[in-house]
Amino acid sequence: MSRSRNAPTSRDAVRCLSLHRSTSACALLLLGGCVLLLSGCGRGPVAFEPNAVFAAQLEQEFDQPLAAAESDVQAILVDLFGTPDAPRLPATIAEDPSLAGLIDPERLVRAAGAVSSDRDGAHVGLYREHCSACHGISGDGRGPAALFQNPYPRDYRAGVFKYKSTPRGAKPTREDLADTIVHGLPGTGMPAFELLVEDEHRDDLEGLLDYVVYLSIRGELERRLLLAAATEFDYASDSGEGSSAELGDRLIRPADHDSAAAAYAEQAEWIAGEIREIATEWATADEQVPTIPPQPDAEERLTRSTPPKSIALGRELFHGQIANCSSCHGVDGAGGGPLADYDDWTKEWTTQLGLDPRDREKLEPFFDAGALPPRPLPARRLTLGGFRGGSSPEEIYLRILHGIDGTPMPAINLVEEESATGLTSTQIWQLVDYVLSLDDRDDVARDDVARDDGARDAVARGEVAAVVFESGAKR
Amino acid sequence: MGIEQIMSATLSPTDRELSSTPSQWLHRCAVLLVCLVWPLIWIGGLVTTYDAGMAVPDWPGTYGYNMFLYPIGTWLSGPFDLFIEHGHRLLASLVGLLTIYTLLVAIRTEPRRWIIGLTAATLVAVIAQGVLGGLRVVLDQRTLAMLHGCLGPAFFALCTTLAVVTSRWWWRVGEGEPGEAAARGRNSVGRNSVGRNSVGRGMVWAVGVLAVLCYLQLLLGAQLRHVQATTSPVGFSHIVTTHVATAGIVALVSVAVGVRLGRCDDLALSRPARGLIGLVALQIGLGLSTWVVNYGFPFGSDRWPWAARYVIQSKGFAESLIVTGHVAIGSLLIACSVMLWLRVLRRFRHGPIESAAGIKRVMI
Repeated sequence: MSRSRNAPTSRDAVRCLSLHRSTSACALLLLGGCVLLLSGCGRGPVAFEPNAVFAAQLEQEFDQPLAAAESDVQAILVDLFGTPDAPRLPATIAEDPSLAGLIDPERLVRAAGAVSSDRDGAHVGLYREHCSACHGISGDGRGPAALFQNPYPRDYRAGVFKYKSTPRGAKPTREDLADTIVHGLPGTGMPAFELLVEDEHRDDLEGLLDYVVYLSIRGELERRLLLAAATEFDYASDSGEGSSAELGDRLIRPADHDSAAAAYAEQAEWIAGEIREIATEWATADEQVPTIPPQPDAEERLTRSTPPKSIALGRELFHGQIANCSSCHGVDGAGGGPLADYDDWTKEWTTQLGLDPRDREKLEPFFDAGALPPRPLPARRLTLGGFRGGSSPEEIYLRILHGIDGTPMPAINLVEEESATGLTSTQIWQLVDYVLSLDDRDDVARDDVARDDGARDAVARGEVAAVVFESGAKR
Repeated sequence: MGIEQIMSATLSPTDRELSSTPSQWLHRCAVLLVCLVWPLIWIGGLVTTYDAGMAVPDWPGTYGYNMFLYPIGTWLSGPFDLFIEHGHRLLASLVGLLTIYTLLVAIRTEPRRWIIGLTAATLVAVIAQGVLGGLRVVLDQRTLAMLHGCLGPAFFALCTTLAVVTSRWWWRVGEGEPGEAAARGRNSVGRNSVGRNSVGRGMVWAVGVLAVLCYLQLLLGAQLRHVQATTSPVGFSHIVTTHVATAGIVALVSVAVGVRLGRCDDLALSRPARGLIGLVALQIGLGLSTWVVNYGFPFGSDRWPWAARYVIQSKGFAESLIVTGHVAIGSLLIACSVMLWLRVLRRFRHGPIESAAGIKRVMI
């Protein structure tokens, strides 16, 4: 082949030149894209986000501007709880013997901060490694991936948790939280961290529990301080920091405590009381776990399937006037109930303020504050199985007994004798049998659990929390 | 050597190029580099998946040891985090040493100066990538980890480029020889085959855009994988939407390219073109799976029992392989599209395989 045949013509040269320019343009575009995508990544120290949605709600409710209050509250919270990189416990918790075991300060520090690990494979920064992508740095349920979750990730700051063994309105036990972390929630974005039950990772689990409780206490205090700012302090005439408002008219920042020592001491005492109250609810949650009465015919169930009569009675209750489960869960639990309600976290800044959750325009101030678009909360289709709070009989018993906090699922009034005002424990068990009978797979799981000697003995002894924790594996 | 010079050299063979023969040793070294860098990306991906980037907190040493003298027993019997992080460093070092050797081979045997320059650029890139990985550890910066993760596939593409331009095919086409199929006598010269085997400006652009889009996808994916806890949900959703939309465009372009080049008789073009379709299909499957194992099913959990019962397993073995596989196949897609682009570009410059028979190029 001769050289001349392949010699570039002027047309080829123009074409090549054009290609060179195009290639350069592509390279520049790519480089620009890289810079654009990577820009904004190197942010400064991580800080807890203020609860701007709650502040916006209070502003609307009490017609009082709270921007300055938000700033004051953050200053107080940083003084008490530290930062995401350097958390600390308020003295009220750290020095109170009755609250001493609630949060371990060393584990708390290990769970916080940036992700890292040591020679032995022990990780630090556990919360950011496992949780913050959905639950957010502040535990506000607004992590980067939150918008894609249904339901949205839990906002710890309200201090309300769905799946627990304690009564409606009470805090969950550590075992309840551990159960959710270890076994996850079926059909949601909450993963199962099963590795954490292994001995070498048990401390990681405890650290995460400490951090979740810490965020919840911090967040609940923030709400109380904001509420106080809206109702008991005068921020209406305050246009911001360094305004003309008297120190006694607003929350005093720790940095200003010298100029108003007496008022600050009074404020500190009040805040300590609030912290103590919240922390005590957490510390005493274990005491509120009820004893689950043994399942009727428990011995018989070990060798035979669920008595059909119990299922039939449960079905009657399900569709009857007292339990009236079908009004939400639909006939035979197939869903399609008439109600399309919302969770309490959404109602707080919508229906409670007289705003329609579907009216995006009127909710704009809340979206600007960071609220996620409201999502209706249809009642569960029980025929799907895979109950989020667990599919063991004991767990379903507790769901029926206590309801699900933060949702329209109500608690049952437990009565001694059959009456029109509530259900007896036997009737709740019949409902459990019926609910489990709606799904074949869960029926098998239920029998497996019932045959488990450890679970059976624990039920007999009334060690409910332990059963909940162990039987979660059957989900 | 700037990209203009490199491209100019690839398009306009010099007298030196035409009068000399290619170095097979250099090509073998380049192929070996490619074969080592892909597992390196896999292991690097695993390091991120298991959050093991800081399992060895010092650099360039390993817990005070010279990296190469770290007790092998401690390494192999230690925690998994240490195993993959130290393993990643050792393999990266091997790649670095091989790159040095490749440059020496190029200097000694390669007649084309621009290829020596390209090999030197590869060495600079591997050093930069190593330093970046080291800084990620020393400064404990996750942003640097993301940058390190984004540059790894670029280095992979660079090694692929080196392997392509040192290949015999590249040389043969430069000399106007027919492609593989034609050389075996399977190619019939006719009007239809001319259209089938021609490569026009449109195809060069299409494959080039495909390579750029694949890399853009990798950047977007890195934003999702290394998501900052302070990123807003809206910002994250925009990245997800763009990633998904770009995946659709990549799929369309790769199918169009694959169908068109898949009919070409030159196996050097048709095979990778068809392979691209398969890789894109695999990558889309892995992408969807990655979402599911990270965040669950995006819909259907209130409708279908299998979705309602699905529980995400955090850092499960299969889940980790899916997520890391998505990263690794993404890199492979970039490398394949770059390889195809270079070949298409070469074929565009030097005409279709029928050019030996004096038939004019038909533009597409």
